[in-house]
Amino acid sequence: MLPLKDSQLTAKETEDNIEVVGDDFMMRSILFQSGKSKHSTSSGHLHEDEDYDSADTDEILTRSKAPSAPETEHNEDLETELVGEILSDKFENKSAEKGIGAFKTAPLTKKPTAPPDDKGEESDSSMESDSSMESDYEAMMTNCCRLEISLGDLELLAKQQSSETSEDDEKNQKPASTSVSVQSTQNQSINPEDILASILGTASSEDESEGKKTVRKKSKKKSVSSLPAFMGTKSLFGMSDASKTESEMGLKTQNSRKCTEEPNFVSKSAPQTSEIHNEDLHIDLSNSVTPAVSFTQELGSSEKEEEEKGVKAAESLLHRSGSAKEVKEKKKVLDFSVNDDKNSILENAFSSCKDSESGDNKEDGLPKTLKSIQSKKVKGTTGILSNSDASSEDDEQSKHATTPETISSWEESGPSRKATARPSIGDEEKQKLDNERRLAALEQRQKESAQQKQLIQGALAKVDAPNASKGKHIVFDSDEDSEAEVEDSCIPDTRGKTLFDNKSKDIAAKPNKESVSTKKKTSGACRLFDSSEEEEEEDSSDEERFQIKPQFEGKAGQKLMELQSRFGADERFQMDSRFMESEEEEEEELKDSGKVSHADEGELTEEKNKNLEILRSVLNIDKQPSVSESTKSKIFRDISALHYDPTREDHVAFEKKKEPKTEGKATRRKKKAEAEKLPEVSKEIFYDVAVDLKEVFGSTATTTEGEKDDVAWDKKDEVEAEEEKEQSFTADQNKSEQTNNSLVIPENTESTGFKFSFFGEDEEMETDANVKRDEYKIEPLKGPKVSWQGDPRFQDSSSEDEDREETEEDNTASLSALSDLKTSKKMFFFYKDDERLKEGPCMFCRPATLEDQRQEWEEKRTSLIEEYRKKHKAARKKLRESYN
Amino acid sequence: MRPLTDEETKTMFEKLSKYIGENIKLLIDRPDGTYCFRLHNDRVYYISEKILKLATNISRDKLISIGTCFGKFTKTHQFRLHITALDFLAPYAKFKVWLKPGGEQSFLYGNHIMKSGLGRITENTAQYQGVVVYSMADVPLGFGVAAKNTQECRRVDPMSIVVFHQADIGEYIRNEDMLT
Repeated sequence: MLPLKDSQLTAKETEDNIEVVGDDFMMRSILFQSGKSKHSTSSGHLHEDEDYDSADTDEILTRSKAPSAPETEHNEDLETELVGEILSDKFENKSAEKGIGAFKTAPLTKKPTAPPDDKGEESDSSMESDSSMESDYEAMMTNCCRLEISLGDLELLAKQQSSETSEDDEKNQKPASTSVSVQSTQNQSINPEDILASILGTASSEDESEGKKTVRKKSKKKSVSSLPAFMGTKSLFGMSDASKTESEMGLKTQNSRKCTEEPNFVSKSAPQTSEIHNEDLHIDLSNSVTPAVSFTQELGSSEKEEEEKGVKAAESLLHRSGSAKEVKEKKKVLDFSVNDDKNSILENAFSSCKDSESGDNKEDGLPKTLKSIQSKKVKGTTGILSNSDASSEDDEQSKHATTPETISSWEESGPSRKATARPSIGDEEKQKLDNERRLAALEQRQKESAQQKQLIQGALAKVDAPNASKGKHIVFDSDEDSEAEVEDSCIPDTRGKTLFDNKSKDIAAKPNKESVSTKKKTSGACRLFDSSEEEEEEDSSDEERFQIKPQFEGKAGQKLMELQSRFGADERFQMDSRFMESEEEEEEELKDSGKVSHADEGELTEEKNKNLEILRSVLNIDKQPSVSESTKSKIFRDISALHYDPTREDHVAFEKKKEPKTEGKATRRKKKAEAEKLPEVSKEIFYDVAVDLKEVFGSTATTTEGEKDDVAWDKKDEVEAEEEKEQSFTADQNKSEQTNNSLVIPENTESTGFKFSFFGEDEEMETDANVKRDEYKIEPLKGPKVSWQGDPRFQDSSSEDEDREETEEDNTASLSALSDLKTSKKMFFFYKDDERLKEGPCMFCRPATLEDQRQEWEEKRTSLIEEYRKKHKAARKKLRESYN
Repeated sequence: MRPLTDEETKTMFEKLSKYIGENIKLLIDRPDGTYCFRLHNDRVYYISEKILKLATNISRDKLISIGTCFGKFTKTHQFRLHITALDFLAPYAKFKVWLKPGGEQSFLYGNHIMKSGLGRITENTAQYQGVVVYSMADVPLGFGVAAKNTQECRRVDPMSIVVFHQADIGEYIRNEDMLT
């Protein structure tokens, strides 16, 4: 299989022979389209798939696909390569000639090259070489051969011509051997015998020189005539090449035609050239190379001089691709041939059994041909190129109408002529005469040309540069023959034929005054084509060609250009500034069309956009991802380059927020503080004592300070004693104490006469002290005990008896008020209607409702908790301080 | 002849996108000129701007076809691709199936593609993915819908259908009168 595919194939063969290919799989059809490996792909592929049933059909398919592109290529290639081949063939021959010093046999050797019908065969060989147009052109240029023949050689030629037919071949070869200098780069030798054989086979060797000329000319003609068939598809180069190839390929046929219908052919071809003059010109334009101009000018001038000196005679060239050099060479060849012809014709005219009239004509025509040739040379010296080429070629053709005839006659009579030895009759004299004539004619021609030049210059000065065609016409108008010329140009084909037929005849029979009018015409025609004025114009137009033509400027100019191109390069329909539409109109048109088109385009683009939107929605290719990407890209920043700017709002994000935390702490603290704050508590609740302490402590108010101290000391002992007693008191003791208490209290109350202010916790202590004092008064140790021991159970039983007695004695006065209490406390044992029995059960009963108690408790509790905490804290603080 | 409505365009693009995906864009936004879709007789035509302009000279009832018919809208306003759209789908197709020579004929007669006829398939072809069908010589033959994904295609037995037939170039002969 083709490597291309293999490389791109990512296929893997599965067990079931299913290939799985990637997305990048390149299909063969695409390859076909790209035209890279057309045939190889198809063939290779077919080879690969062995079990391919419909391989043939596939092949057909692929073939049918492929050829469409290649064929055109082939055609083009074929054309160019045909040219190349032919050229090379020619060249081979040339080189061969050079090698053996044979005379120019190229035209004849061209014959072997395939005729146009053999394209198919040629195409195969053409496939081999990839020579492009340019390379072909180069090759052609390099293959150009140049023959230089001196006058002496010509004389020799003439002599030899007049000599026996057996010498003919030698004669043909001799000039070449003596003077032929073939400028060529490639040397491929072909067997000279072959060449000769081919030459002899087709035409007489003598004709070769002329044959070549004629061939060339005919090839020109032929190319011209055969052009239309090729013109359609080919480019300019291709066209010219094609024409060339055609012409060269058609040589054989032409030659054969020559033999059969020479006069007609000449006459036919001549008008055609005039008709196709424009095309020819076109080709020349395409082929002409500007650098060649100067070169050819120099060359032309030098060669002209040489020619005039009679040193060099002619050159041969391979193709008429339009270079002036070649043209000139051709001319020289013509000259040479003419000379040759002259000689031969003269001889022929007298000796050959051919048409005497034609011979006469030829003879007569000689001067004129010479003249024309000389004029051509003059033109050549002016260095006019492609345009002139066409005309000059035409001239050549028209002039050469004489030579072809002679040639044809020779060709026809070739063998016979060979057989019949031609005697040389005053050759040298004749030659000299002719030469003189020729020189004279040349001078005359030069003068004429000079005059024409002046004329043209004058005319050109008047006429604007771009209106070359116009100027031309003006010049012709001034010419007396212009009318005829115009007629000529206007004459249709048939008439043209006759005209040119006449022309050829006229040219031949110029000295004869049989057809003066026609002669005039022809002279006019001659002038039309070979007059130097024209060449001048062409020269100028040559320069103009590369100048910017104002009528083709701008948009209107473009339109004009298009119009012009529609006519082709037809000079008759050249568009100058007169045909230009006014710019305003065009602008208006443009505007109108623009409006319309804009409106249409607007609609269409709108529709397109709408479609694209729908497509997006269909494919879910929304803009969102792109937008997000863009935002992402926007958001991305180099963090290292990022600096905190406190003034910027968006930089707040970089700030650390400590406030909420601190606030929380603060609030917490506040809350704590609040919580720690002591709720205001009514202290009355605490000091609301049911017992009338005022009365109880009233008696102690009279106690002294000294006693107090004692009491304090005593008290300590008593407290200790009491604690001990508490641990080991019995029910009996309690009872006794109770009785004591009950006895003591009435005493205290009686004795107290001072105001008592209660302060918190000290109250009890103070009361204790008071009680003690009181008791100390009476009974220093017992009193406080009783008062201290609110509860009779805590009373000491050690001094029970004494206390009882004393209290009974002391409090006799105050018993009356608190008789109930006294009685209740007096008695240890319960008695009937005992107070204690009544109070006791009340202890178990709720003093208030449960809710009230609860409320009280809650209030208390909070206060208690706070109290506790305070104390706790204080204790902690103390602890810390102590540690510190 | 009128431009497609948004609804119609959407329907058609949805169908087309099954075969060529986002390459539809290449059909709409072409560098070589403006091309557009036009509806005529329930058929969608893909036309260049130039031809569109030329077509304005022809009355609607006389106009049979213009440009390239991509398909038609059914009575239920669904879009059905015609084989004539193949020329535009084939170059842009994302998922392809190549038929063995033996399977070609069957497909060109309008049958579904069996596993036995399957020569090659693009990897990662999903089920019910629109595929363009080629011969092994890379000649586009039509298009269809993948009945199974690539992995399943490997496993299934030879007689099971792997691609549902949608259109094939045999229709040019079979349905000559229908194709416009």
